[in-house]
Amino acid sequence: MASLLDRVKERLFSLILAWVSRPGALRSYLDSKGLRPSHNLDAIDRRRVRVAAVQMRLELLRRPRDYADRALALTREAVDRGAQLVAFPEDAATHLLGLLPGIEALAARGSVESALEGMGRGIRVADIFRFLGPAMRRVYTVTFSCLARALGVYIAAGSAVLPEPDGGVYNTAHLFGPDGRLVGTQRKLHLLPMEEQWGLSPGSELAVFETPLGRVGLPVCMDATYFETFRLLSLLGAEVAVLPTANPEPYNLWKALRGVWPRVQESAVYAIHSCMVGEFFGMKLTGRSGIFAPRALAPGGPEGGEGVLAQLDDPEQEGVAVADLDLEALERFRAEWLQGAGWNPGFYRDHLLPAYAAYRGRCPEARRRLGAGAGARG
Amino acid sequence: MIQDEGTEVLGCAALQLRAGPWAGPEEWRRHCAALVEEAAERGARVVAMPALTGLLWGPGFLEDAASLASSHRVYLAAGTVAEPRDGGWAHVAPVFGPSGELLGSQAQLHLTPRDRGAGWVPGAGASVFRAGPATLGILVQADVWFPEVARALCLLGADLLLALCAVPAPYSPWLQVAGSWQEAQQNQVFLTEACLVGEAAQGMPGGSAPPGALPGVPPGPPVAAAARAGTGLPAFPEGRLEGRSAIVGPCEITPGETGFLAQARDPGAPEAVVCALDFAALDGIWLRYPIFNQLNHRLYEGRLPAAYARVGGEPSGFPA
Repeated sequence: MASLLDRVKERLFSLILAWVSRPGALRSYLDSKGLRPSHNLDAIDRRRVRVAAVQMRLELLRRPRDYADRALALTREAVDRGAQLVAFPEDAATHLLGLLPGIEALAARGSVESALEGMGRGIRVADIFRFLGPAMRRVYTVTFSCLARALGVYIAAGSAVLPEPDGGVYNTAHLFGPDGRLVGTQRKLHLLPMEEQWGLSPGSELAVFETPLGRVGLPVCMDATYFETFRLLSLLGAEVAVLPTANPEPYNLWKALRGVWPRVQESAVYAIHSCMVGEFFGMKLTGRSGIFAPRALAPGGPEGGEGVLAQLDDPEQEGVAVADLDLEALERFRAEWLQGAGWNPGFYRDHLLPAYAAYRGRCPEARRRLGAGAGARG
Repeated sequence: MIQDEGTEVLGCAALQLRAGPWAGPEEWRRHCAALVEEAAERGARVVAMPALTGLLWGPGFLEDAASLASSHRVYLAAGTVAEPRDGGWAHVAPVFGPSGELLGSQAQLHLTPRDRGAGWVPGAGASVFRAGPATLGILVQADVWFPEVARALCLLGADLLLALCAVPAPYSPWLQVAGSWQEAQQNQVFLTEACLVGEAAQGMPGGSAPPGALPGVPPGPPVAAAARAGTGLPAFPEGRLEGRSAIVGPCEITPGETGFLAQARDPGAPEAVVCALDFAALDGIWLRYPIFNQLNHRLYEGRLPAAYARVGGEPSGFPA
């Protein structure tokens, strides 16, 4: 009987969610803002593509219109500064967990684990996103689609944790064009161990999207810890990697240097790095959003450049970093890099790729033991 | 004494050697030997010498290096030599064990077209070497800036990478962070970078730019050109080399979370940089945050072969 009652409650709540997240209401709300298209895309010059990295605060928002207002304010700031492509952080739809009644009390428990205990036994984070996913997807996509169309810019809407038809829950980046259409999506390829425990799944495909503002890749957060992601993007032709992150630890320059910056240097792409900040379920999210270039293409280059075109100073506050990308200079640089770097494709084919396969085959739980028994000489 | 027997701690040294000016080969050899001795006395059991060490040494180097390793009971990555291979010359790092035995060698894998045109040939494979509680992998010169090499070595089990370098001045911390420091971080291993510094061209025992000073070694060495590969470094008109030899580890197990365990003080002066590596602490990192568990093998197996087939063999690897 209780089970039936629970199912009835769940069904009723789903109907309520569908009602509050109905696209028509949100579109009407945004239409009422009287947004006028910018002229930022009227003239596109590959030598000067203006991009913006948005640093956004994560907090629970109960109403879709509150969410739309937050996204609008940050987008408008970037657009007013001439941005043609505006990039948001990872977990850019997670604010919409606020649609769940009582979630604030659970968040106040101070940790994800504690909040899950408060929801009942056996519930995983993925289950929550699976349940709220349809409503979150509607609000998230309608918001950014409407903003992109209304303001006439490209919006890389960060990433959203959403359920997919295959039953998996993925952390997926979205790119909207100035006509409001979805240009493409990219599932996060390398999860945090924490995300794996939460029940999320990694993607297995990598795409590059052709736009008038350059060929764009959409890796997500930890994807930048693995050189393979950026190497593949670059060799697939990507010129700009748009990287949303939500890093759950206090800011540390050195730890930050393990992510997007070296990937840009290794693989000769521009990168737009947008960070989520704030305190959420006991996690402290930090980062310094910025726009990065190969050192030779940054001020002070070719030898003295630090590879930073623009970067926010405060790792804990909202803000917008704006810079211009010179895609023609990048094209020249990459032609030299590709032809003159001294690649060794035979090594990759005959040694690197088999090394992955051999490692995977061992299924190592302890790398330490691997060293002793992996055919080392001596 | 930093001890490795029966423990998970290993003393390691990066020798920052001065290429010159020296009055002759004997002075250079004494300089090298003195720093090996100092490193061993300070507890190092693994010692890395910079690129070109053997090229500057001249005839008898392999025997002398074996003798240095055995007399100090150290594992010795003895810089680099030129080794005849496939009608040209490979830029090779020999590795000796504490009994003076040659454990093996690692050739530089990434050479610019200019280097190849000058007669240098790239290596083909990568090997790892057991050294007490550590498994060594060697990065020669420009290989430091190609993450494929460190990744392959670490997939094979390396947990201590030795980067043998000779990089044109001026020293750039950014170049170091983009190279050796980064390889330690993204593979969660220790790394020892040994740099050659000083006036290479004028001070070489042979009196000319390395390794053209050596009989039978072609001009256009991988010294500067290969170090430049993919880094935007300038030409090497002055022949001055700089670096700050360093011993690096995952940020989480280093003081101040900087990733640096020890570093040479002066980018132009010789120094033996020595510290103890705690492999139990490294184990702890792998246990707490095993980033290799998240390698996306489906993606790599599906996409990397075709992507890598695009580089090297065609004038332009990018799709239209």
